[in-house]
Amino acid sequence: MWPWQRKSKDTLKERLKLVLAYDRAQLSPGLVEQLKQDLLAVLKRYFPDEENISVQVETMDDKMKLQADVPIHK
Amino acid sequence: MKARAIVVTSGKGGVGKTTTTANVGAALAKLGEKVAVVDVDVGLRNLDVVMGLEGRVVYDLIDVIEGKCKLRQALIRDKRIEGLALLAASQTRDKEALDAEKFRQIVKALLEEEGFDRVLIDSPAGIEKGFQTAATPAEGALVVVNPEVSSVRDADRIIGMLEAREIRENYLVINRLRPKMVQRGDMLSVEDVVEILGIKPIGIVPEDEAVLIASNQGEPLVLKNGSAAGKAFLEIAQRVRGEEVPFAPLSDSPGFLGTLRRLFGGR
Repeated sequence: MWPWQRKSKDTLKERLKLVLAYDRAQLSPGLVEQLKQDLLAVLKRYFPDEENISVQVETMDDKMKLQADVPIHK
Repeated sequence: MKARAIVVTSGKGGVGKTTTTANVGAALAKLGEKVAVVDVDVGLRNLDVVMGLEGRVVYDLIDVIEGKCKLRQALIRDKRIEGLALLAASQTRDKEALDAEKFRQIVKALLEEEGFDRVLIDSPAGIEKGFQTAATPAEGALVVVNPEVSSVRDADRIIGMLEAREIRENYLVINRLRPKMVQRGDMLSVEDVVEILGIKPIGIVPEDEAVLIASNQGEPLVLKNGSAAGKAFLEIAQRVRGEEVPFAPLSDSPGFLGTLRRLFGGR
């Protein structure tokens, strides 16, 4: 294990936090992934020229947040 | 812990529920409490063999429930430790034979009529009926968890289910921790597990060959001296009793190479 390598427990910690958020919310990760893709498709339909649309799932403590980022230029 | 009826549970199998029940039970008795350890894993009983009492099982929990014997007749007193008794699970029946309400009454009778200070309930693995029955009379829980992915995930489910049952005095027993792997970042640390699961630890038990050896011999670890795991189980019992026992740092000595690595900024 070298200092510049990522520690395996940090990978695990990140994975666990996400999977527990889904477990606690009783959501299936695949479903949320589909929702993300659908949201993206809809957003792109309304903002066809916008490149930087993103939809992300974030976990905060034991809550999960679905966040869409849509920059709208004038 | 205020709870006198404590369920030892984990969700996942094989993480150390039975070992924890046997050793914390034996340690509590050693500290002067009158303790009944109850095996609820109907059909797959194991607490008897881990404690080395298998040769003395005549009646079991289901016999008591079905009125085939008195509660007192089914209690196996451990002759090595004053105050410790086992109530075995049935090996020949299935989980359906164990009614949750009747089980609650048995635990109540142990505390109120048989004079036990504490009842430790060894829950079966899983989250279904067996666990639900085991948790029915419980006022608190020891959630046994290993610092690895599936055990932590299952522990989270179990903690949710305990809270849904309004069982609130819940503590983590972090079992089979390998300090060397934690040190090099290949195993979740105590702090990591506590951060993820959000309940407090009551004990940290290092991976220790002495655990397997003691179960081979059918002798509770806490009766022998000198093992790190035995010491950890004894400390859990002290904390259950409300004693303030500081958590000792669980580091293997880093050794020559470890010191060198540390000097050069490695892990």
